Amino acid sequence: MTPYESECRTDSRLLYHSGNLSEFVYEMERAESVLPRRVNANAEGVEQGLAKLVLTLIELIRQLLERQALHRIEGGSLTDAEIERLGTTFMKLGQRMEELKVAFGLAGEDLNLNLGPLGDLM
Amino acid sequence: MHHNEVVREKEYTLCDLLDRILTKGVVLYGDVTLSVADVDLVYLGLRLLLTSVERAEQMRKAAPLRLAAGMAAAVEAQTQQ
Amino acid sequence: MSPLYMYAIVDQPALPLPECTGLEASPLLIVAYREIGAVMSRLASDGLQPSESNAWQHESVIERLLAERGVLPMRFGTLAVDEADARHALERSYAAFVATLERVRGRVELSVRVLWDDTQHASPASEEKEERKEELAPPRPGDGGRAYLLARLVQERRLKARRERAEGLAGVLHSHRARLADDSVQQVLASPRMLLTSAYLLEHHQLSAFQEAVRELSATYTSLRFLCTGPWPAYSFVMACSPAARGEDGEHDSL
Repeated sequence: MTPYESECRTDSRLLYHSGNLSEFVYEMERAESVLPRRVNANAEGVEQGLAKLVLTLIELIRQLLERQALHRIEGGSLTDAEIERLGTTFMKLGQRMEELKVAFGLAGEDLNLNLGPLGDLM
Repeated sequence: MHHNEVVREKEYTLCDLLDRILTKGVVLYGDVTLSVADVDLVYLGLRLLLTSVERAEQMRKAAPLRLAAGMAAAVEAQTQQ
Repeated sequence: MSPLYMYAIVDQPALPLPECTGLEASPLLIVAYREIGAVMSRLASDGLQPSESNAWQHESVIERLLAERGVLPMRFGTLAVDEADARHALERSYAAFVATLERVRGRVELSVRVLWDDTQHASPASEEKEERKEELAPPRPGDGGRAYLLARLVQERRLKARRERAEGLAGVLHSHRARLADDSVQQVLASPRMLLTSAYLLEHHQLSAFQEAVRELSATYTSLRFLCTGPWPAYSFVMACSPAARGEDGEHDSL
């Protein structure tokens, strides 16, 4: 570590805070798609990374379709039978997604992608 | 300051720094890449190259063979399940 | 040949580089194109982790440069094949880089985050608290398709109402501070409790007035939690000159 680097680190960047720093860390970890603890994890392999990518895209499509359906319900353009059928499909899709997440060891994680300058996908 | 406070401050500052340098700043892409919060795909995302189209082809052929091999193995493993 | 790790795009390319080393203790070098340059160092290893040490090394090079000239900090992990590639990148976006350097020269970034506890900001009805627990949990299966979708509809409406409350409150907070800065960016509800995530572009003489404003806001809004960090290089204000952000990467293949 160069002298400047250590100087750079120890300069306090924390100008002001009210409340608990760990609350902020917790919320940042929920908000951000790139996290210190994940960067340090070495248990996940490329395989899981790919699964996560695929599942994220499927989840995006599922959410988009679901929102479309809700929009149409609000607009009154679906029959009761259609609503029932759509609802059951989405429920099953949601359950299946959870099963897949468990199978790939991604249970409880937020699936999301950071698209660089375009921000997060979802 | 308690020891705990100091530890938290460093932890927070690192968190803040990483957020800044990993998701902001000038971005120069050769190929379009996606980054996700996994070690290996962050690694993939880190191979951001400034290249022209021809050079991108050269680099793809020459460079990340290790990573490409890993991905091919992973895809194969998936399809065999 | 080993790649070049890029730290920043700078002005005054003829100015001597600071006497510090970059990642892997490699010496810094600069590639110039007209009035700007790219500061880099040669990377021996095949790939790079955003470890604590590497992150701070990246940051400290940028801050050394910032002490003496205008700097556009790069995202961590940007590599160039060789000097010619770096020069090509400088040439391609030359006008944008020059304009952005002009905008951020002599300025730093302060970050402000605000947490809220949204149970405090709801309407006073006592039912709201119970409902809020269910607000974020998805409806349970076993009730039939129609029931599921109707429950989702209610959930979406509540989330929308909450977002509107958040945006209103965040807007008030943000505008107090934005007036004191040259520029600002904000994001509302990055997570359920993170009411506001924002960054402000400030000249050095504006820093203390700004921090005072944060303290005052914190004293006024006692149910909110404020956090202010910095000064940082203007990472949040340089993204617009990225070729991808400007829709200019059409000449490259996509994945």
